[in-house]
Amino acid sequence: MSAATALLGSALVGSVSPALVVARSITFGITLLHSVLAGGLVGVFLTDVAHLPVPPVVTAALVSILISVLTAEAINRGLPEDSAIATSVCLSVTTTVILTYYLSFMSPLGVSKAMSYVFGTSALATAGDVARLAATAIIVIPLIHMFWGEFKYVFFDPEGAYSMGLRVRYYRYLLYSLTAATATSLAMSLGVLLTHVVLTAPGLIAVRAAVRKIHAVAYASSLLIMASGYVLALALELPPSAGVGIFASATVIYALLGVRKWSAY
Amino acid sequence: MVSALPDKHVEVKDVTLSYGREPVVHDASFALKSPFFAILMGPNGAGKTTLIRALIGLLKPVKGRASIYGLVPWRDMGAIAEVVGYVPQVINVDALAPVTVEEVVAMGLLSKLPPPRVISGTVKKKVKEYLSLVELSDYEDKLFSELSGGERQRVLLARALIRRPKLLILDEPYSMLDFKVKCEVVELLYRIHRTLGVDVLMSAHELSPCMAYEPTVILINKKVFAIGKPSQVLRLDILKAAYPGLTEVKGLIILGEDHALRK
Repeated sequence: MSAATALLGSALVGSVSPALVVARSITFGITLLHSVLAGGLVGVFLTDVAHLPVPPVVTAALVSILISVLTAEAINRGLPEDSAIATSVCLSVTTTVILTYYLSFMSPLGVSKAMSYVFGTSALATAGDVARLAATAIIVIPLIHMFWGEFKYVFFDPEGAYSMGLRVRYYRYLLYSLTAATATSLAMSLGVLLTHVVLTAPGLIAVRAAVRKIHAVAYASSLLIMASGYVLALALELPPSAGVGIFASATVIYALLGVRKWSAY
Repeated sequence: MVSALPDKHVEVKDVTLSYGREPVVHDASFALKSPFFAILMGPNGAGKTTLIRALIGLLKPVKGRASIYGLVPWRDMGAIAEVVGYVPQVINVDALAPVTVEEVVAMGLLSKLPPPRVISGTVKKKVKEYLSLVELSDYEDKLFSELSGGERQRVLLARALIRRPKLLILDEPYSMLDFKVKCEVVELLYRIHRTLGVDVLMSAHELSPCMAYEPTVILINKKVFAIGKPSQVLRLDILKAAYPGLTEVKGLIILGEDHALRK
């Protein structure tokens, strides 16, 4: 199950990460994970306290997609991207803090469930995890490839794209929503903290290393990070997410060190 | 080339444009009759780019109306995209994006089609043809980020031309280029205007690179001060009104760092 989780996770990351890097929205991608945590807590609260049959994964996905669309709309309306992202983080973190506070005395077990979003559960990957990642991959990967040209183009020159009749607003919604779906799915297995790193590394490497074969390099590096991480975790008797984290971090550091120094300072 | 459209040309009537409370363009009016090779000239902050944004439908006027060949830009976006080829300022595109010249130019054509927008053999051929028109043959595989400022400008021009527009609108097409390249860009634009019958409206700080082609000059600084041929517009009384920072030195009037006129 862990191998299947790693394989599907790397396919998802390999498709989304380059799009985020090309769209210069990698900050958005990683800060979006705050909303996954907030959405997960909403789900835990509804199940454990309100006793409503709403799985946390559904609320996590819905909240993160909602916040991603709100962020996209704020940017479309002229708010600078960093301000829009900061607002979405504020909203998510506030929700997280309030719900964690209430859950701590209303359902202590709920808090530990919610923490699985932070640290991941891939050590205990289940058939449910594989099914969830597979379902996300079936939706996300074809859509990313179908609109890859448009994503590149719309973020390369938004005004020019608009003047040619391309709906810049909808492409932003689409990319952000696909990122939200991917982040939610991955966060359930890898944890929010680790997904930060995993979502960044392959896109960074691909755009730096191979401008013309971006996706091929992104898929390869993503698979390499996941597979090596799992092997390392087995060897060191660590949770798989820790092994993946070590490799992903090392890859990001390598990518940064590989940047040619051109400035004098 | 779109030819079935009503021949109403470009008309801006009492247009006021604003991003907030203060108007950036106030009660601007002018009209251009096809065929035209026109320059929207004015100092920094005059509202040239804002007016261009309104003409391509990105900004709705607070007051007044504008039309392009009978179409209202912010209402008839689909039809405007068919007749207008827009070339943005090079500094407004992400110059470091991992896109090839072929991808940039092809998108001009592919944006007319539904997804998936794949660069087919026919599209490749068209891209080659239009790159050759802007004198960038064999540039298809180069990265946009590897090009010089003048070359990037030509690529964006090819992207607009491949759509076979009736009107080319260019925002500062020769800013930040050296004077020789500025003249080359203007010469190319004039040749396209003459040979393909495309109307041209561009914004610029300075007129010098265009003087040889007798353009129609629309002098703007928040409002339109004059419209006509350079000899009609570049008069001291008009320039003094439009350029508050205008300097007079020993028989010359200086409008900017590289633009001086004899009194």
